[in-house]
Amino acid sequence: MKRVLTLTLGILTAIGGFIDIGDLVTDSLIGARFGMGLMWITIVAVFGIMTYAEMSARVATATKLPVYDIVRSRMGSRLSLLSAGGSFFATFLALIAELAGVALAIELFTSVSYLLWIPFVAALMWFLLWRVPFDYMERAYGVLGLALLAFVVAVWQLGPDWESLGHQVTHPPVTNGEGIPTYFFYAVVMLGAQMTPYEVIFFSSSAVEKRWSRSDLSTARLNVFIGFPLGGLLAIAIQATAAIRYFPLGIEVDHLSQTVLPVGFALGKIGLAVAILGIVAATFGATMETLLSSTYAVSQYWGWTWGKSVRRTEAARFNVLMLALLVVAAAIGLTTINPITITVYAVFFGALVLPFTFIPILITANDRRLMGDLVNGRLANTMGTVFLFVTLTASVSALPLLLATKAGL
Amino acid sequence: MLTLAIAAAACAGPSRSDDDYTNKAAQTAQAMGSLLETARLGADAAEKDRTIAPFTSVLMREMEGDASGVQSVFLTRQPPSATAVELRARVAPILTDATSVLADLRIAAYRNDVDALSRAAERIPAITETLGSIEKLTPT
Repeated sequence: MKRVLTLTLGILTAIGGFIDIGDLVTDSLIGARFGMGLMWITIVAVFGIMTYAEMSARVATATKLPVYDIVRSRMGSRLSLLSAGGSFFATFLALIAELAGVALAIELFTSVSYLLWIPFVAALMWFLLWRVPFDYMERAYGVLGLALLAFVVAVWQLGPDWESLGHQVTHPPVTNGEGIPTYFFYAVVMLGAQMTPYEVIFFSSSAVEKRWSRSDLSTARLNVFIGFPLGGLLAIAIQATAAIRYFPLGIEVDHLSQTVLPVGFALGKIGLAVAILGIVAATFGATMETLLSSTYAVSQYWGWTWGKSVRRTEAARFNVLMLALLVVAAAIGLTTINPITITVYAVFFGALVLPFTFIPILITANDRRLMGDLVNGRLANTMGTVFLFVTLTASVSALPLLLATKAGL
Repeated sequence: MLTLAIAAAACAGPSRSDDDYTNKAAQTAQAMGSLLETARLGADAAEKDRTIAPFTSVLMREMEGDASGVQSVFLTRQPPSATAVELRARVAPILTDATSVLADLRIAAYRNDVDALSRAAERIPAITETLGSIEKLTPT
């Protein structure tokens, strides 16, 4: 039973990390624009994030050190400042987007402007982080986030032409008025939406905070190998619903409401409500992950005492910073800046800085002195190198593609 | 971030030639058509009792808001020649019709008046057909 409950960390990480506001919007946008033509990116992202999450769990278990302690010791203070700073900025942008995302999802239930919900969501988040034990929170979001499975059921209920969807997978419809650079720009955006630095930071920091030992590694691996593929399945289902309802009509997706409309068609009012509930849970979980991860990045880099389970007086700087970040994120969200635009920036910037999070993990996981018998094997190294190359390629090509395609227009 | 801002500004900049203006008209028609089709799907789902009233209201409000933006960006663009002025005169009334339908849909959705939603949605196919002909325009 304990193992089943512990599995919820993986589900939370997968749902809150893989299916966050960035992914919800990007999946639907890309499904409407390219059909299933970028589904392969999701498969790459699932294997990539599984590789590095498993590696970071081993590193955290063997060294008892979180990501940015390792980054600083491996890359030196200047280069690690670039890494921690970049990841912090990308994660903080994501925090603003997630916070607004929860408010946008509640707006779909109530028709009350999301701006009025932002302070409420921020206050609730702070209260829960302050008062509720971490385990309860992750289990609640993990279980509620499973409501997103409504998208999977919706795909079936929409009765798609499976042959046509399959054809889109194997023959990406790039020629339908889209250029090859635009196709690859959105490939980079989708990779950035699905492989985020905060997924690894959150997973590894949680492992350190929960003092995982070798006996917990098998559970950690189950988390990784069940949670992320589940996130990938949900992402593909969201792409498919948009590919079925919007792609043939040439509809462009710019709003969260458009992401869930196909579920209403397929499953009616109840299905729509369940899907929106899933979005609220997933974005709320992602808000918690991005808030904690951005605070972890700064605290770990500067060597502060950090952690939700540490006495607050001992981790005063960590707790003050967390509150400050939440307040600033809410304030920025209240400026009426378009949350979807922030989401796109967060996703794009995340793709740029991703390799800086992966490189030190890969290097440390190869250090036999630190890792002992948990050192990387041939398979982990091969996969780690392949996915590092993929993220480096995406990172290097992101800016030229953005300029060449005028941000995907 | 700065690069993104520059890229966005470049997309919304003035048209220097007829070709560019025609392209912008086609893109405007495509964007407006997408908003109308989404609204039509939303109205269809509401008619079939497959959405909740607040959701439909938010969807229509967003479509109308975006449509006003699309219309405003195109109409405030300076036409570079007499031919472009003619094209503008052809496109402008269609954009007005589109935003008007979306406003009617928003009002009906807010009042949860499904009959009014259906009546407004019935006007959409004729507008999207005209928008389609503009979308197909290619620079000469």
